[in-house]
Amino acid sequence: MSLPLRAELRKQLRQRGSLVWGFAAVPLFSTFAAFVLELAIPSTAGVGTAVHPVRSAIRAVSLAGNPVAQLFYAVGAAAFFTVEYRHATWRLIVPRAPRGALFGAKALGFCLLAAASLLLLLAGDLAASLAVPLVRKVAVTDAPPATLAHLGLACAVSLAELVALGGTAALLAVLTRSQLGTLLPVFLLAFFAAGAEAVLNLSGNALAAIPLPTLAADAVRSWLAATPDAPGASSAAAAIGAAVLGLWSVLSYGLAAFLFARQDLARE
Amino acid sequence: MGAIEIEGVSKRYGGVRALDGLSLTVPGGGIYGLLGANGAGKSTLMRIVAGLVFADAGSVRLFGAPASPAGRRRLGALVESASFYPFLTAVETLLILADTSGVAIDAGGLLERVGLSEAADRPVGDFSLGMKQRLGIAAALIGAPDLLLLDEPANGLDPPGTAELRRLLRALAGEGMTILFSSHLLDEVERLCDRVAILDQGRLAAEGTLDTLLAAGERLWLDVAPVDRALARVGDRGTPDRGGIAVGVRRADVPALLKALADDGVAVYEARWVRPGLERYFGGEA
Repeated sequence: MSLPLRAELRKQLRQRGSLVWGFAAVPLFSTFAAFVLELAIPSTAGVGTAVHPVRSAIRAVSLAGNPVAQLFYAVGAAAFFTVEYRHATWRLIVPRAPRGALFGAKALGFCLLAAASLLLLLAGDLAASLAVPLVRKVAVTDAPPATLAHLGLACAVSLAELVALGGTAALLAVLTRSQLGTLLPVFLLAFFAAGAEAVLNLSGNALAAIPLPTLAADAVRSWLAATPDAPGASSAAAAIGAAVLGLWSVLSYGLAAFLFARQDLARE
Repeated sequence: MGAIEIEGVSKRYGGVRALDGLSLTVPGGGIYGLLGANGAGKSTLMRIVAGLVFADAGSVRLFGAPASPAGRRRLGALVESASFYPFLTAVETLLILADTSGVAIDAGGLLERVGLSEAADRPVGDFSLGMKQRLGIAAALIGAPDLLLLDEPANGLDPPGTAELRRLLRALAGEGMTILFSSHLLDEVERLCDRVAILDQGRLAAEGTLDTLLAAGERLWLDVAPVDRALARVGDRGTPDRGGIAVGVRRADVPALLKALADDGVAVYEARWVRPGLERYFGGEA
């Protein structure tokens, strides 16, 4: 691990508020809900006579695209990318380190934190799934290989969605130098996407028609969840969705890095 | 080759011209003072040298090479007031800053050097302004730089802290470090610096050794009576000053001046050389 990246992670680990609310809250709430729904009130969770840990985990990691979850992740991203502006500490760091390396460490640090949050989501849901048979008389069904591949893809889509959210936050942080100026637009973008999905009743291929990260991720998820009985998005729509996620990240991080490299830090 | 070579640097913030074609060479070794009233351009110049702000025109060279992130690895900087992550302790702050600079450090040793050993594990958010300034100096010393930029480092320090800072800077200069020290406090600069540059409205008003700059304004003060007759005798060279007159005159011309005054019936009770100080270069605002 590079030293600037280690510095970013150490800094974030000491910011307990944004660490908990930004990166741990979604996995913790999800795990808590999984335990409550599957153990305490199984009838509402629709748990039948068998538990399918992998399918449950796919649902859990897909939570990253939920608008409420995105609000929490937006809190984490805004705090992470604006901490130097907020505390006027670029003046301590920038003189002796290339700005590109500093920004790269920040972007990579956010990606690692997002991945860690998804791993927590996964682990929490898996723990709840495995705890159910110990308490109730239900069977754990085997996961077919295809489903494990689906889980891997679902994790990748959710990570790509969070990385894109981080890119938007990084760009806004450089432009506004403000935590609130970063947080609100990021959340509103996710909220707008969710609203558009609900109001326009977008599903299947239509999700890929609007180039927003949340909708693009949902297009890929729709393709992943497709069955012969319930067809979802086509593979072409899923490819478009994946491309939107990738392009969004490349453009947002790239533009943020470009602007930061030329930014006057007369005030942070 | 100077430690810092600044050539024709200009910088504007909107309609305000902060630096106006400034050229300056800071020689290697010793303590170099940057003096000027608030708004003279000292902090902007520091920020440009530190790579925080980009000049609109001109160039900066450090140790003979264009200022770049690689060149700035030999530089430590405390620009304006020291700002830190309030949630980190002093030790954590130094370790994290060392990581971002890509160097290994003895954080305890640095804190001891600036007198913060006992506060090593306290959150910086609880520090007083003076303690933050000390930590800022410790942070600037990470990686044992060859060049130290200190922008108003005495801000927030109490008199013992200021005296301790002076001792530290003299010791660092004694180790061969070049220190560019900016202040609006004449007294601090006069006590510490070997050479001085004086900025006024973004331009270089004067530059040189302290002795040269101070001697350039040296005048002969005379306690005389009557003052108006003495002023009429010396003409444009003299001005009323503290009950007597101050005259701009070369040392060699003093006997003749005194004789001329006596011939005019002016009684001279006392004569001494006075140095007006550096404030005359920037209108006495500092």
